[in-house]
Order: sequence, then structure tokens, then C-alpha cells
Amino acid sequence: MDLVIGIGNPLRGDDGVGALVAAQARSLAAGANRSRLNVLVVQQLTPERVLDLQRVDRVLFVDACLQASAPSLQPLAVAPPDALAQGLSHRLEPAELLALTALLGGRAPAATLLRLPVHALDHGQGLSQQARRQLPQARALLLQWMNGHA
Amino acid sequence: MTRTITIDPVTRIEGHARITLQLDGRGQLADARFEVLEVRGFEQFCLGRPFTEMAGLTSRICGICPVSHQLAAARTGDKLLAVQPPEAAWRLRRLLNLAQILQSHALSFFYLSSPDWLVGWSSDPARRNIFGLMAADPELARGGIGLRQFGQQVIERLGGRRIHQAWAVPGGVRSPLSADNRAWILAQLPQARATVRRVLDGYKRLLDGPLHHEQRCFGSFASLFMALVGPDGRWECLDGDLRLVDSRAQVVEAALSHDAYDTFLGEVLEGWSDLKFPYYRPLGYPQGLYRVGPLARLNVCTAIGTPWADAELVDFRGRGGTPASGGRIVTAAFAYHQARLVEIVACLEGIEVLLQDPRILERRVRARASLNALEAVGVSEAPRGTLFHHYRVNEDGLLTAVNLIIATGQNNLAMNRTVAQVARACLPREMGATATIPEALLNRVEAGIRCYDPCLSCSTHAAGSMPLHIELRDASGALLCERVRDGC
Repeated sequence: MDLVIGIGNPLRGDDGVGALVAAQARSLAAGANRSRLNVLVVQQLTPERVLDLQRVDRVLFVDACLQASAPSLQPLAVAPPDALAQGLSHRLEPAELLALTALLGGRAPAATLLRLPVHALDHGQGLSQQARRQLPQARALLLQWMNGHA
Repeated sequence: MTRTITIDPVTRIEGHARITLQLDGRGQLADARFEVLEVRGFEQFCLGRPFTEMAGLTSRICGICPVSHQLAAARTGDKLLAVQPPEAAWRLRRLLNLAQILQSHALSFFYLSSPDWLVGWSSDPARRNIFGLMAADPELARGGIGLRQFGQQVIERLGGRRIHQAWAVPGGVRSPLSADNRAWILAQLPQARATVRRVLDGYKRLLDGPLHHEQRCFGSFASLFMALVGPDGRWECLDGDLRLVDSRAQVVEAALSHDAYDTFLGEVLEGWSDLKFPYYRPLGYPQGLYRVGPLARLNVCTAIGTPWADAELVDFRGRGGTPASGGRIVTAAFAYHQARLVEIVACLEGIEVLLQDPRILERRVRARASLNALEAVGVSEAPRGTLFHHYRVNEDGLLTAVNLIIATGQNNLAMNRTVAQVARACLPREMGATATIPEALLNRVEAGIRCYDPCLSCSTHAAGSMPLHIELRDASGALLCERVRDGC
């Protein structure tokens, strides 16, 4: 079973790009008749998502990234125990969620982050022009991951 | 030589606050303050908005209890429309609130509070959190996460999303419950019940052992207790009579008017905290201290009305009921934790009762009308206690006045009293000029606040990412010693 998690707030401009791209995974999976793919869209990662990760083999996190200049796929490692010692927030990073999953269940799924660049984070719905222009590349990388080539 | 001990910030609570302990010249506690350092401002910036937006607006006061505000706002909207929601809508709102209380209590018990007694009061703060709990007892941690997720999933299946859904509205709810969702929720209940039974058994062993003293004495003082009650005084989460009882189990007020809340509840704003101090007017301020939330609801109700929860209520009163009340009233703040577990049981049983009734699938779930009143008060029970939404509108339905009395605020006087009581019990007899502030003191005082599970801000909580900085200063303000902790 694979899982795609789109992260972001659709009311904050380009921060909603993760949710948008992840939602495309649903239609891509339906078109390819892929039943072993689940898609979640969340505003932020919380500890309860551990229970979703425990049931999957691979997970793709899709998130807006301030440091990204172009869409890219990045393998994710489990956060070291020291990182967890910094405490709990309602908002976890993907690597921290993976660490929680490993701590609780003894293993974490193979994980990748689809990093999407952001250009505008103002209040309001809708992506900036720059973000919209990069959607085809993001979709291609999503498909690459879904087909097991990443 | 007088000194001030400041705990800033208070950790593992929802929101931002600090605790200040003032010692007199003999090193004895002279004053204790729980200072809340944030302003939400909803009562101001909602002015001018249509009252129909308030369910959506006020649900964004918080990311932990958005449902509570949504339900109170919807109830106020019912009254402004002068409509009675259909029976199915009442059942669905109740189902939503039970799920909300369940998931919120799970967060409080497992994530925020249990690390203190399961990882250790004096343990390394870096491990005294949900991660430490996972390492110490992964089964318990998994169960707690599962319970919280279950409550969130019920909310999602009813309203479309886990947080900030827009389902309860003036007049009812937006959509009925589907048969599939009903079946799914029912199918999850056995595992949820099994989890809670395990947790209760384990927690009672602690109450019989290392937590025996806390259950009776930690944050224990006489006070009034206020909560909604249903028919025959039963436990109620959505609507009913507003009742006030005292520590001797005497009913002070049997059925206070929701609409006239400001005749019996006053509010004071102290200069050193942004959180208001509600009090019971007939007794004045601060003598009119009263408590709300799980401890209050269990003290006020005559029974819960479902078999397992009623059995747990008997156990709860048996462990902590005071002689002055004939064993009926529990006064220790620490008992809030067991009260939350009892209420989780009540929620699970209540959810099952609602879902087993086929009327839960009825399709008529909303009454519609135009504006028919210019002022209304909606009351409901949030996880942390009774919640009031009071709106005044003009003829166009635009808000001209908003007053929100939040559950946590009503516990403000009690939280301050608890901090003082715990600090007094924990402070060493003599705090010399170079005395190190004991870690146990810091955590116990904070734990006094955690009993109430306060929700001080919207939706963010960052325990551990905020450093804890403690300063000891003399009367002149000179720094005597300090401790800094990076996270806990």
C-alpha cells in the first residue's frame, strides 16, 4: 500500500500547492486503476498520522518549500532521536513523523518528499502564476513516484 | 528577603502563559499568579460580521476545540432565528460534541498530562512528553493516539474535515449522517472501548499506588462547580439546565437562565493577565470562584445514564469524594484526569446509543428562518467546561456586540488557587539566596495547571520548542540565580 500526503493551507496562497498536487494523485490513481494508493490532504502533520503510516509500504509527502527553486523529489530519512527530544508541536516535520512511526511500530515506510517552490503566501485561495507554471513538472514527478521510479 | 520565581512558559498546555511565585522574607509563598500572555480579540474583530458567519469564525478560535465554538455559535444562531432545529439535528450535534470531547480528552490525558506520572515527575524534561511515553509504554501511547484519531474521524465523517469543518449552522446541521458512516463508526467502538478499559485499569493501579496522595490532595480546595445537566440532573454535553453546586453537594442554583448569564456571572480583568476572571456574582470577587469542566460535570450530575460510565462515576466518587459532601463531591484538581477518562467512557457509550437509534439517519436536519431576535445567548459544554456565546445584532443581522465566556477562563481563579496550593506544598522550607530551584517544584506547579487542561490560544501548542527560563531575583530585582531549559 502506498500513501500520498499533501500538506498545506489552501487559504494561504502557494502553501496550498501541496494539497492541490496530492489531490491529483487521486485522479491519476483512478485513471491507472491503482487501488493500492491512498491520498490524504492535511493542513499540518500531527502525531495521529502515525497510525496511517504504520499501514503503508511507501509514503510521499507533498509540501511547499521555501528553499526549493524547482519541483524535486527528495528521499527522506527518519529523524534522529535527538530531534524528537526537542518536544511536541501540533505541527510535525515529515522526518519527525517517520521517527514517531518507527518508535511506535518498529519500522517506518520508505519515504520521499516532493518539494514544491512557493512564491506567494498571502491570505487567500489560489496559486501564484509562478506556482501554476510549475504544476506540470510537479505532476510528472508525482507520476514518476507512483510508478515506482523514485 | 523577598523573591520572585517565574516559570515562563508553562509547558504542555494549549497556549502561552507563565507562573509567578512571590516569596516573602521567610521564603514562604506570599502570592502565586497564573499569567496569560495573549489576546485573541475575537470579541472585537467579529463586530460588523453577519451572525451566520460566527460558527465558522469562532471555530477558528482554536484548533483543538473548534467544534465547541461552532456548536455554541450555532445554538446562538438558533435563537436569533427563533427556530427549533429538527430532532435529527439535535442528535447529530450531540454526536459531534461527544466525538469532540473524546478526542480532546485523549489529547489532554495521553499527550499532555500522563508523561508526568508515567515517565516521572522529576524525570528528564527532554523525555517527559509523548515521545517519552512512547518509549516507556508504546501500547498505551498507541492506544491514546488511536482514541484521539477515532474522535477526529467521527468529526470528519460528520462534517467533512477533522478541524474547522463548517457543519453545525444556525437551524441545525448541513447534512444528514449516511448509513455507511454510521456503520463505520459503530465498527470502531469495540476497539475504542477495549483501549479505554486497559487505560482505566492501569490508571487505577496508579491511583491505588503512587498517585494516591495526589488524587485526594493535589489542588484540593472547596469551590462551587457549574455545568449543564439534562433530565433528572444527568450528565449533559449539549443543552439543558445550568446548575451550580457547592463542595457539600448542596445545589446552589438548580436551573440558571442561559440568557441572563450576566446577572449571575461577573468578569474581572486583572492588570497582570490577559485572561478574564469570571466569578459567581452573589458571592462577589474572588469568593465567587467556581470550576467548570470534567470535574465539575461529574460533581454536578446525579448520574451519567449509561452503565459503564455510571460504574466509573461511582469509582471516581469513591476514590476522591470528601467526607463533608458525604463522598459525593471530589475537590482535588488532580481528579480532573480521572474525570476525563470517565467522560471518555460516557462519550463512547453515548455515541453507541445515538447510532443504535435508527432516527440518527433522518434526512431533515435543518430549520430555516429569517432573523427574529436581536440578542441571544448560546451555551454548550466544551471539553474544558461550559461555554457561552452572547451576540447582539442589528436589523440586518450584523453583530453589534459579542461576549464569549470561555470554559478555561471560568477556571482562571481556580487555576491560580491551585498554583498557590501546589507551590506551598512543594517549596522547600527555606529557600536560601543560592538555593537551586528544584525540578520537581517546577513540574508540579505546571502540573497543577495541566489538571485543568487550559486552552489559552487558538490552535498552536509548542511544548519543548519554547525554552523554560527561571529567574530568582531579590526584592531589588537583582538576579540571584537562573536556570534555562531548552525544552520539555
